[in-house]
Amino acid sequence: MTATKIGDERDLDRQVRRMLRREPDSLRFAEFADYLRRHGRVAEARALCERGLARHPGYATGQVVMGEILRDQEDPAKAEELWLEALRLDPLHPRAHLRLAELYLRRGDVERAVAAIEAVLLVSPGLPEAQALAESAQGEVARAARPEAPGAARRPARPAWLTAERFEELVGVVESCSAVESVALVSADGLALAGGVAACADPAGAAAAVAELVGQAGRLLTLIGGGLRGATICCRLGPARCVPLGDLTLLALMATGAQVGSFDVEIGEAIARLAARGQPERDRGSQETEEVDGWVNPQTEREVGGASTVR
Amino acid sequence: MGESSDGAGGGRRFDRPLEILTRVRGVLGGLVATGDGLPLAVHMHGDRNGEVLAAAAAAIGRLARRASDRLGRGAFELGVFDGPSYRFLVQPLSVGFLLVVAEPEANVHLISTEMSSSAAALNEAAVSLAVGRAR
Repeated sequence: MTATKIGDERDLDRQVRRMLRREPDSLRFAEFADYLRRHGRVAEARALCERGLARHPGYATGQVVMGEILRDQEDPAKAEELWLEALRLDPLHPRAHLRLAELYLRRGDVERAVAAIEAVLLVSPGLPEAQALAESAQGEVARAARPEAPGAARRPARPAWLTAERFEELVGVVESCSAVESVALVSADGLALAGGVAACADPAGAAAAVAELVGQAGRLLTLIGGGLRGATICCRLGPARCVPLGDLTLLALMATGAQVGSFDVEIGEAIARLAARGQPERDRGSQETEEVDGWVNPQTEREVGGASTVR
Repeated sequence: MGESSDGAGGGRRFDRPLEILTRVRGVLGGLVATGDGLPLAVHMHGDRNGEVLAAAAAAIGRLARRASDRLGRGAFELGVFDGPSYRFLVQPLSVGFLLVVAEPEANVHLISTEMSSSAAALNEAAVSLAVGRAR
């Protein structure tokens, strides 16, 4: 049932009373509280929602509705707390992201608003409210003289060692790893900046699809917790290894039969060595560490010294 | 063991292969999601949210399948996504996707072998479920 089908207010009151009598533990408290709020009966909505959340504190939608009630009661700080709590319970809750985006836009916190809108568009790309907000945010973004459009991926920073002069060197280093057939360094827009995967029937399409996969999966896994340090796509004719390097993605096509858990380690170590060579002399000792110039080798941090038990 | 549930349509048929899969060392949980991200069956240790993970599995699975198609290297068989806290493995099924959440240092080779067996059992369960409904 949706709120618009509930009918007139008298009918709604009957339904709420019946629901509370028959199903005191029902999660539908949030739906009814939302309906009451949208019809201006905010105090009743709050009472109903508070009772429901006392029974179901882990219900993310209930937290979102309570946040909306508090926003209507001019308590945006508390509303924000509840929407953030909803995201802790359900990191992909589109309505929680949406409400936070609206709040941040009103505050003029464009950066956080854009991040929240990106999250909504990622989780629910077809949500009309999100599209409208993205358009409205675009004006704010323009006013803030920021070049990127809301909804477009915000690009993570490239490691400082990975300068344009080193693109070909990086490709060469990875090409020299065993079982690697071809390597390309791909921009977030899917352009091959170095190397190439000519063996693909559609190299440009492949590069674009891989860049999109790495970008979207990275944002999705960041929402869930953690982020993305590397991905392997196993296909029938051989795997492909993708390593995010800030706004770039390294794509390596592997030979048929190459073993996951082996080539990814070798590629990770090769990149780490190259990154270490890019450090100033005084920092070169960090090659043996897990992090080089902001880039954490996803493999060495857990493979070095532990490979025999790990894989 | 935390959450263990069968979503609508999954029935008990999906539960057993998932249960076996989640016994593998380093595996924190597994689930079956439809292609558009609805959880059909969830078997998770701890308090991980099955609905959130199902949505993520489907989104990542669809992107990986598209990338695989564009790479022109044959059918998409498995996606392994390494994060600092988890390792996500996504395998296509006839009904959608099988997701395994594992510890970051978990043995991929071992898990992927078990996933193939589970995927075969899950596909078989899906067929028998469809046949049962058709009757």
